[in-house]
This record gives sequence, C-alpha cells and structure tokens, in this order.
Amino acid sequence: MEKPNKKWASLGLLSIIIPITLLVTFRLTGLQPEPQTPVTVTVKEVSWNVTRPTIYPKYFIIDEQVENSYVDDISADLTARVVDYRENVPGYWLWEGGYDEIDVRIVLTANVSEGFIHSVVIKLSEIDAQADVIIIDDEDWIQVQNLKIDMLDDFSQQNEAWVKAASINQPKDVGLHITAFWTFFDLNNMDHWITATAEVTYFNGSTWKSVVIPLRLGVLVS
Amino acid sequence: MSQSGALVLRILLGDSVGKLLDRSVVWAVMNLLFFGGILSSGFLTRFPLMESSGGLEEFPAIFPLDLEWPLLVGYIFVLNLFASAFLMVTLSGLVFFVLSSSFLVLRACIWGVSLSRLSTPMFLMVLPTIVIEGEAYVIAAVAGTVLGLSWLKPSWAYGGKAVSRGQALRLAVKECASLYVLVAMMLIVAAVIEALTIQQVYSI
Repeated sequence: MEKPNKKWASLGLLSIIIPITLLVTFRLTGLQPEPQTPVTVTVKEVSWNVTRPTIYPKYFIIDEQVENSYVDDISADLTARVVDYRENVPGYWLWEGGYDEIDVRIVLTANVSEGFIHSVVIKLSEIDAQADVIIIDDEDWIQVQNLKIDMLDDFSQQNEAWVKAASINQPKDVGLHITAFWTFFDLNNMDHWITATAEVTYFNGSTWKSVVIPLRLGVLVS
Repeated sequence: MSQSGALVLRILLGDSVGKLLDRSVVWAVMNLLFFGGILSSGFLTRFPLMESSGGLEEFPAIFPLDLEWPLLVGYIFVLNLFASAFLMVTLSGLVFFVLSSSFLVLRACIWGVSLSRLSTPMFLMVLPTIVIEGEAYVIAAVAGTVLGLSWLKPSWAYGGKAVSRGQALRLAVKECASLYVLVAMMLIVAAVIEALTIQQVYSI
C-alpha cells in the first residue's frame, strides 16, 4: 500500500479547488457566456364558453372548437375541440363516478421557415376548487409529431396540469395532440373556467423566442 | 447523536479518510480528470458543436417532482449510490480498471455541458451539489480503480507487498468498503442539498 503523501494529498485538494474556482470566475466575469433567454411574445386571449345542461340528456355532443394562432417568423396554432358533456359519469377503473365531465381535445401545431423549434408546453391552468383536469397519459390518446414527451402532469394536483415536449432533431414543424377530461364536482350551480396555454420555444436563425398562445374555456350555469 | 455513535462515526470516517490518503496519487489524478473535465467541457460548449444558437437555459428534471421531501432525498441518495456510484463507476472498474475513470470523465463532460446551459444564479445554486456529489464519484472511482488493478496487476495496487491475485482482491474489497463509508456520507449530504435545490427551482 502507498504511504500517505502530503504532497499528493495537497495536489488532490488543489485539483478540486482550482477547476471550481476557475469555473466560477469564468462565469462571473463573462468569459463563459450565459445561455440566452428567449424573447417572449404573448398572443391576445381567445375565449369560448358553453351553457351547462342541468337535467337531460345526460350525455350530449357539443363538437365545437375554438382556435387562437400567431403568425410571424413562426406560424403556431392552438385549437381546443370540445367534444361532449357527460352528466353524472358512472366512473372508471379506480375512479368513483358521480361527477360531470367534458372531453376536450387540444391540438398544437407550429412551423418555422428559418431555424428550428426547440420545445413546446401545453398547460391547463386556473382550475377552480370544484373542478379538476386529467390529461390522459396514454400513447393512444397523445399524438406527437417531431416531439418527445419530457414530462406530463397527468392528474392535476396543484391547480394545473401540463405536458412538456422537446423537439427531435431540430425540426421546422411540430405537432402535439392531447386529450383532457375536465371534471366538475359541484351541483351544477357554479361557473367553471380554465385557461389552456401553449408555449412554443424556437430559434429563428438569429434569436431565441417563445410564443405563448392562450385560450379561455368556460362552462356556465344556465 | 450519542457519544458511542459519534465515536463509531469518527473511527469509520478516520479509517476512510486514511484509506483515501493512502491512495492520494490516484485520488489527485481522478480529481483532476473530473473537475478539469467539467471545466473544459463547459468551455467547449462555447463553440457551436451541437446548436448554431449558443444554447438555451435548461434545467432538466430527472427526479419525480411529486415526492415528499424525505422521500425525494431518499430516492436521490439510493439512485446516486447504487446506480451512479456503485454500478457505473466502481463495479465497472472491477471489470477493467480504466472504465472507472472513463465513466467519471463521461459524467464530468455531461455535467460541464449542463452547467454551461444554466443561468448564473442557477449555476451558483447547483454548484454545491456538483462539488459534493462529484467528489463522491471521484472516491468511488478510486475504489473502482483499486479493485480493478488488484486482480489484474496486484503489484501496481499493492506495490510493496508480495500478494496473490486472490489476496489482493480481498484487500481491495475491504479498502473499497472503507472508502464507501465516505462516498455514502457525501451522497447523503449531496442528496439533501439537491432536493432543496430542486424544490427551490420548481417551487414545489
């Protein structure tokens, strides 16, 4: 076995201290540049609502859609298609029924002529206390184009549910289609609102940018 | 902590530090490879190797964010100890001693690139975790290199002693166990800091 060697022990310590000191110094003096922060553009919100049926029929088809888009150095489009409404859902496996539910399909498409798309996020937020949103975490219910799902908060626990996806091979166009069940626990006596937001981060050839596209969906007491 | 507990800890730690200082040459080389690797790979990202853009701030979340704090610490600690330190760095060294340092350098490069993609406040937040967790992997690599050399070239591992391959391997396993006390302690501290950092970043 080697004898403890003060010289080498000191060298061992120095080989931690010197690189870390240099790393911090380079960063603080700007010799190692910071990553860019994207310039964010927020599109004006588009709103949609439906009057909530109270008694019959227990199931009816809504089949309406609302759309918001942004066209500049990127063409991005967020569409929410409200499929149907179910009164007193009998429940699924592991879920007790008894609540009301709306089936919402959200589709985001984006393409750039210069540069590439980096990532997309779809967020369903501002969910009230008497409602919940479940994004279906199942490959049959999520469709992606040139994207890889990074994170998915499928069962909202903190007032919002979201999907984050990163692009594959710096594509010029991407697509993300998700399905969300918006559930209500009140006795048909409350208005409910939710905000669906898409954030697309891209590089246009010279600058990093983010475009935020919001949609506001409402279900109102008749 | 009781007096006897503190005494046991002191004996264990003293033994571990002693064993590490016995390998001060290997330790110094591993430190230089690892922390030098982080520094140089961070600098290489200045050149447009991967993106024509200079990069965007990214803080990858690789741990389940919905875990309670003690569970998150436990999860990070167990994953780092068994997968990142033991399997990847130490056990690979037992197969072939060079693999320990190779995996260490690979990790340093990944960390260097990841660090360069963080804003300065975020960079400063994660730096304590990088230093403590990184040092744990360095010590795990020292253990792996000693294990690998013990059966391949006992004379390199135990220069002055005339030992057989089997004896050398047994000695190396004992030495490795001592070093792992240090590795585990550093990874616990790193896991606590990392969990706090993750919670701060994601404001859970």
